[in-house]
Amino acid sequence: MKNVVISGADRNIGLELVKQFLERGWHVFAGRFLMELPLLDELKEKYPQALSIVPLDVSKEESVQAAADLVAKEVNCVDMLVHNAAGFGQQTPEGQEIDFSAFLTPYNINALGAMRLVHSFLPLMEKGMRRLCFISSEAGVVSVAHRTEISSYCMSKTALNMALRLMFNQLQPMGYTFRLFHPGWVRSARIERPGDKVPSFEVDGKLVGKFWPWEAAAAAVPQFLEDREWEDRLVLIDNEGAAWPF
Amino acid sequence: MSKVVMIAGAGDPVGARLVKDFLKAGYKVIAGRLKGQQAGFPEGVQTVELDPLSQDSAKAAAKAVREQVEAIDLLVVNYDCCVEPDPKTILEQPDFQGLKAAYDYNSLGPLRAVQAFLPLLEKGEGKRICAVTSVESSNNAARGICDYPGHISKAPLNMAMNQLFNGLRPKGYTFRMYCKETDAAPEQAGAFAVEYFTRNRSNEPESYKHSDENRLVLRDHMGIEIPW
Repeated sequence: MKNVVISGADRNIGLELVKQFLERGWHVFAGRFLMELPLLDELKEKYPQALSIVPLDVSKEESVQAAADLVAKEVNCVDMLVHNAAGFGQQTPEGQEIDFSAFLTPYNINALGAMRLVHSFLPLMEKGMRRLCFISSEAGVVSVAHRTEISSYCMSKTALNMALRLMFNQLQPMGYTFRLFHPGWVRSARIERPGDKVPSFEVDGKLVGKFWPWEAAAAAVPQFLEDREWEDRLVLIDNEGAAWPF
Repeated sequence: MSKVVMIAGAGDPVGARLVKDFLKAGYKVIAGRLKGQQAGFPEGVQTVELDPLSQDSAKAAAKAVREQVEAIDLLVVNYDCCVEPDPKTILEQPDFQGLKAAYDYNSLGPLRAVQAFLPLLEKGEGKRICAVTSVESSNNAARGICDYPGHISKAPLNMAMNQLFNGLRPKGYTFRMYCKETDAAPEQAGAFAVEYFTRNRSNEPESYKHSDENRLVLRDHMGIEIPW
């Protein structure tokens, strides 16, 4: 049985990724951030053996290291790591002063979170399939940047892509393979607690986004699992299979 | 009346070169310096204190400048707290506080300066925003395996500058991004920057390929375009 660790598994794409791997017979270590949200617990009833729920806050190195220690008690090796946890940051309305210090929050989750995960879990991955997967975004692609306002989210994803570039330069020659996935514009449920309407994908009464989380996860997992003859290039591929520049 | 340039981060060797070359080019130079920094600026250069980590400091600096001049033509941002590369790779324990501090300084610092000085740029005729960065900011050019602070603190500024460009280019602003030579001898630091910042480029609306003003590019100290 292969093992995968997934960050941000509480809801949306993360939760759907967990389901995808469970259905394929993997042992999933689901990183839990929202302690009150019961969706992972409900899934655990269906997969009592194959699903392990691990407290994981990628914004704190102690939490990530504790999660790695917990996983190490259960299994000898981790085959795949999936960094899905993301923070979005507040967009300041046009014309208002931007508080740039608030930009540190999505940066800390999206970019530094990936570094924390890789640094802490890498010792467990040596004997496994050695695959590192990341939910990135076209939002972080500088060469096709199209937004007209400064975005903390975009900047954090640019930082993530850069961190992954440095990791790739070092780890790919050591036999690690990388998957960077742009899920498309995914509808996200803003649920945090039990009793929150599930799924509540609407924002101010409008359905925002193009794809359902389960569609994004269903597109991601085959890419994460497939072996490629061209592992010596770092490529960002979207949910429709198209490659993006950086 | 001579044109006015505001240089945020004028205290390091690149900043000193910028000050010198802008004076030579006939500009009135206002130099932003860090608290307590004594850069020994040439005569005639006005200085204001400017803390990259504080929006209040940037606002206070802009207010002080507004008392001296009605408008600025060029804004140059030159912040870099990662001059010495960090030798740690992902296999060593990263310094996450340091990584956050580097981002705050190298990417958010310039944006604070832009936000504070934009009203003064708006009143000027030059309407040009220039940023000094380094090749470490380029994802496509990154070949290294270490110096995470230097790389991931600077790459996001490229994104933000593109977004500023998208919003402000239609309003008449032009942009320059300059990759300094990181291992340059002190007397060579910042060479070519002022020529690059002050020279106008082709601005033909019908020819995207040859219209350098209508796309944002990163150029190094040789004028060579660096991919994002």
